[in-house]
Amino acid sequence: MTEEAVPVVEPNAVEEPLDLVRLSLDERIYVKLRGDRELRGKLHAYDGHLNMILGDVEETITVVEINEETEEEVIRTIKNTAEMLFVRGDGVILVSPPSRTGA
Amino acid sequence: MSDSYFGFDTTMPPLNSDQLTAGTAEITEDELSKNFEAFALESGQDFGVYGYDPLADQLVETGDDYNEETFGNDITNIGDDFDFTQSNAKIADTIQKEEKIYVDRRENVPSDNNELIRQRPLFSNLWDDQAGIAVNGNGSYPNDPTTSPLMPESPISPSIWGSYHPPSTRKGLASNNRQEFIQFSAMNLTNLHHPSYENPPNYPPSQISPLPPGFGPPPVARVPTLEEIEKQLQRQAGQSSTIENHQLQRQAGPPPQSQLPPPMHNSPLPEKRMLSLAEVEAALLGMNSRPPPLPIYGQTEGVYREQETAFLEQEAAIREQETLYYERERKLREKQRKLTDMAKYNGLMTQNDKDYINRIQISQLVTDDPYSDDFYYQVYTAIRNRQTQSQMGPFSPNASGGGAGQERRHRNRGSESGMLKMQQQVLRIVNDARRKPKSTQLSLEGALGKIALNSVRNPRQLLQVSAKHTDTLQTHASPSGGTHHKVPSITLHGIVDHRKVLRSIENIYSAVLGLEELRRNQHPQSRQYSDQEREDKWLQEKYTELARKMWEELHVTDPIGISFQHPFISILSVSKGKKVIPRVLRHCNQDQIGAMIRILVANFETLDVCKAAIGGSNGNIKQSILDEVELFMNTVVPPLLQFVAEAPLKIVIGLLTLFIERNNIIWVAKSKVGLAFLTMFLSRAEILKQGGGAMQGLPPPEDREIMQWQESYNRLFSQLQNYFLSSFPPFTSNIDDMYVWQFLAAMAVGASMEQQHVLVTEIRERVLETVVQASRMPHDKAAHKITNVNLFLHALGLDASQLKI
Amino acid sequence: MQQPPIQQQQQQTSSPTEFLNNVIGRPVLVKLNSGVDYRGILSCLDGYMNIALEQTEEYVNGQLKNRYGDAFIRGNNVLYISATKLRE
Repeated sequence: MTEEAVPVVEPNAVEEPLDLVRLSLDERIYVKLRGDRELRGKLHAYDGHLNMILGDVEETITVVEINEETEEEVIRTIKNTAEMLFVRGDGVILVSPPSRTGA
Repeated sequence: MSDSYFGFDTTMPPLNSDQLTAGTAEITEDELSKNFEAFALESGQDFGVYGYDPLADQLVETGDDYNEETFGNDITNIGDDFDFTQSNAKIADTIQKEEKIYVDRRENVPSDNNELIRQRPLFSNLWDDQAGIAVNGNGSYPNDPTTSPLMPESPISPSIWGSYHPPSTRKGLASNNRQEFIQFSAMNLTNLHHPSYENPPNYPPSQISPLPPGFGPPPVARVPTLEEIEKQLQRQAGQSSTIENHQLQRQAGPPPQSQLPPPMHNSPLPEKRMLSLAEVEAALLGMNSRPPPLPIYGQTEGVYREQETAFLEQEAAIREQETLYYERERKLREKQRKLTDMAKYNGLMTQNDKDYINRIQISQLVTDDPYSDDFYYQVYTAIRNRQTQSQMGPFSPNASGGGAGQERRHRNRGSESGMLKMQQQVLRIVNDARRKPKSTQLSLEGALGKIALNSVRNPRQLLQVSAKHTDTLQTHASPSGGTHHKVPSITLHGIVDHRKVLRSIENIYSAVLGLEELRRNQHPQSRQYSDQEREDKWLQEKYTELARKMWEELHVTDPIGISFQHPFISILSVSKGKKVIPRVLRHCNQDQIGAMIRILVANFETLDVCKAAIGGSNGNIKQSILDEVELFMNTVVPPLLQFVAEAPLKIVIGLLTLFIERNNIIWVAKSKVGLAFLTMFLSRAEILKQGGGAMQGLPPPEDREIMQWQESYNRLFSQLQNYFLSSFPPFTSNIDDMYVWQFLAAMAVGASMEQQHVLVTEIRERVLETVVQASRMPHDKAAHKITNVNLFLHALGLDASQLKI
Repeated sequence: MQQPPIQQQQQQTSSPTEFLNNVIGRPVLVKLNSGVDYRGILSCLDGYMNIALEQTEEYVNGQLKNRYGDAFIRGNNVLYISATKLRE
């Protein structure tokens, strides 16, 4: 937005990290949250705090449980879905746009 | 031995230090400092400045309940429990005699050790006092002039701390020490290291007895109270505590004990030590046999002397350790003292005061004249000014001199209206902050402490990262000869990187949103005002600028063939790129739309909805692609269709020709969107040929144009000949093949008789199969199938019902 | 993937900002407060230490757990950024 029309040398597509999120608007993204939670959903909106609105969300919670009898660690995943989700930014660790191997 | 007991004692300034033996000092000091450090770590505070008497926290504040009972004011109730010298008292006279003889003899011995001599009389004192206390315990001791009437049980005067009565103090300490020691060694030898004994429930008399009359036993034994005691005592000693504090602060060297006269400070130490050691002996003896076999002193004098020298050697070592200890002890107490001193000032400033200072600090940050209120700078400049003037003469055109003068003037002015100025400055800060809320104060931070606070609303910027790093990076890379890997395939004109496509799309969105907002805010009804006209002009300029930006970001005019995929096609290959097209086209003129269609048609086979939407032999297409195709058909095609539906034949011919020339038409015809475009062109041309353009005010197509069209059509037909069937999705798939029938109908309408024949021959099988299939289907589905087939058959003047199967 | 020699770059490093500008476009290791490591090419970062990485690999307890083409890491989680050598 800031760059003036300089047709010869184009600026890099990602000038600041948030651009990466900006470019993922309207795409399905992967969000890693605190507390071993992951989200996959379509990014509808975001702000500088990484507050986000995700649509068609699949939430995966990884729970490590200890079997009381065998004392073995059992890793269990819980999946939830939500049509629309507001994610508070302070829980966000990582955001990854969809991988673009093909395109 | 009695570590724990004395360990407790160390927290009781300043008496404790005198009572401590070196060994105990070592341990308690370590413990203390350890605890201190731990606490400092825990609380994250610098105790030198902020601590609040950490030692107090370590005191066990229970177990005082029986103080009164044990030591209490009413001497008549004091039992014999702690009077271990009662039996001695019976033989006090004898002891005294013995002592006298002993001392006399000792004094006659020319000793090279003065201390040894000095210690001797002490023993007599000691025993005297023992006897005295014993009597005292019985309530018959005559009142000592130094003893407070309320504390008659002890001959020790409060001047233990006040120190202006050294002999009595020494005596008292000695006696008490001895008493306690015997008591403790007798009672607690086995438990000495138990932590609970760090604060023995029975306070030794030496700690309680010197309390001045007003105090009495503290209800809750806390160190701060002891501080108070200390101060009170100091006051009693005729010294103002504040003066002492000042002295202390100024000459951080002398410890609190330094209030004691030097002889007191130096001499008691060896005595105390000697005492305790002698006491050890005495105590052991006393334990073994009571009454103590005092004649032993006389009998074992030689042995004693030997032991004495051994003790002296030990003493030297002990003294060394003790000096160390006292040093540390002194520092510790000094620290404590500072803390308590500062605690006095707690809560002195109100919030208003703090705010005021904050304002001053902030005003310093933004003022044009930061030195105006800086006292030190003023003094500095004044001095420097004088110096330079004296060096260079009073009238020398000295820049700094002039500056200082200016500063002074500033200062004068500032003092006149300081508050007003500050108010203005604060106002300015607020306004500035309002004007640019996003600018961080990172650079200012640290100038006068933290300003920007980290919060969720305003996360603090941690680094100053220059935005130009990409440029520097590229210049870094280029001299080394290699292309930078960061931009793997940068081309001068095209966007290849997927990210660049996405960035373009986002920029398009931004531009479109801006344009839409401008449109919404237009007020065409109020154009009569000149102001409004100016505003309209401004709006128009802004609109043009945004539209230009949007058009730029669409990359429609980028030359073809520079990059693998044309940037505009790349944009259309992303779903949000497709979605934005209808909104973009609202802000495009006809030329721009035409250019867009031409680019699209020319690069048609590289469109994702074309190349990816062509099923293999089994016709399976990923659902995501089908979704994209649907999206394309619903977003991109309609506005373009509208454009084509208004276009003159000339343009339609151009587009079809371009389509055929630039793409593998057989391949493109296998895709739904490909057929949709072909259908679009064919039907528009047919309408125009039949004079439909007249309704849109278009002149009827010239013959030459019709010829050109026919030519293009023939090319298309010949290319697709033998491949018409391949446009259909596999028969088994449940994709609705209506679009194919539509296309075939469009082909059929424009076809010559010969071409129609070819067409029917090729398609006949599919027609029959579809009709047969429909006959086995439920009615509504069958009807749809038949309708589809009829689209084509009607174009040929036929109908499905005519078919005989 | 030719790069100017790293040492030449490091000699110029005299401030955190300069360091960061120098490691942009280079392989880095980003350690989070949680102990999770990310290795990748640093494409950029901002003042809040938000980080954009390319070809990102996620290591939990030293084990490769995940790969991301691009990754945005929220700055508050970042413990440090360290320049690394190119992975073999």
